[in-house]
Amino acid sequence: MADITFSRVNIGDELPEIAHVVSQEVIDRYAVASLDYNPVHTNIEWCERARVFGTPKTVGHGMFTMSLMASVVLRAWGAAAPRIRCIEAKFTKPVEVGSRLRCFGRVKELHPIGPGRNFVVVELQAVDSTDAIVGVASAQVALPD
Amino acid sequence: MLIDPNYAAKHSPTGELIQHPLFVVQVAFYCIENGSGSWIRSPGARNPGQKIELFEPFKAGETISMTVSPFDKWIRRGKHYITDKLDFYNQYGVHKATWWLTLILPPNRSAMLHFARL
Repeated sequence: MADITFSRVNIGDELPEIAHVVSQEVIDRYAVASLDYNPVHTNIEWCERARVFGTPKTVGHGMFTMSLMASVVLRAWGAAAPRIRCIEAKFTKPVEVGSRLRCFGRVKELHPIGPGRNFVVVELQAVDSTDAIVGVASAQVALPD
Repeated sequence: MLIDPNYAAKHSPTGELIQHPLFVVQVAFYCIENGSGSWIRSPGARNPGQKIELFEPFKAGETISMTVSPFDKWIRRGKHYITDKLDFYNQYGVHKATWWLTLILPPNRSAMLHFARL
């Protein structure tokens, strides 16, 4: 939806879900892309010994989960028109390798500040294969008038 | 529009690639690799949540610099939190973004060394 505008958005609008399986290959690719090679993500043997999160498995990057939550907005409204100007996320549960993440969003607030300054707040959520919440986020999204 | 310059040239409102909102992550890890250290790479550190504010999109061709400032640290329910403030500027000094980077760190030096030596 490249022609999204502030006037077309309503409180309660739901943004389509996106899903991604967090395999070790996905984790490794994200580590390369982000330059975050922390062993808790990439070193299987180290994780078996360290159990940083209590699990012997590697876990996905929190920033990957956050990125996927942000992508809910981009996929729903396009990458060009909306501009995420602030995003704040909390991670509530580690994402073990092999989990299938599902992320979705809902418009929570409209801010009709004025032409060129209008924005909405989108509540975002990520759940794992067991439907447990692994992350929540709030994004301020500036939209064309 | 995020990765294909030719597609972006035709479809992006600016005619340029559009920055993914979390591109600051890549920039931050790159800068830390090449400059002063921080807690961001600590083995045993956990990520409780992050806040990123984007003032102006990065543009292809810009040179981005980052500063890191200690912002806060606190103990809650036995966990040791630390927040650094990462500010991103282009070569003209334009403030592009701020990332409040929060981590839960191992509680002391010996715990940190434990994870580092595993």
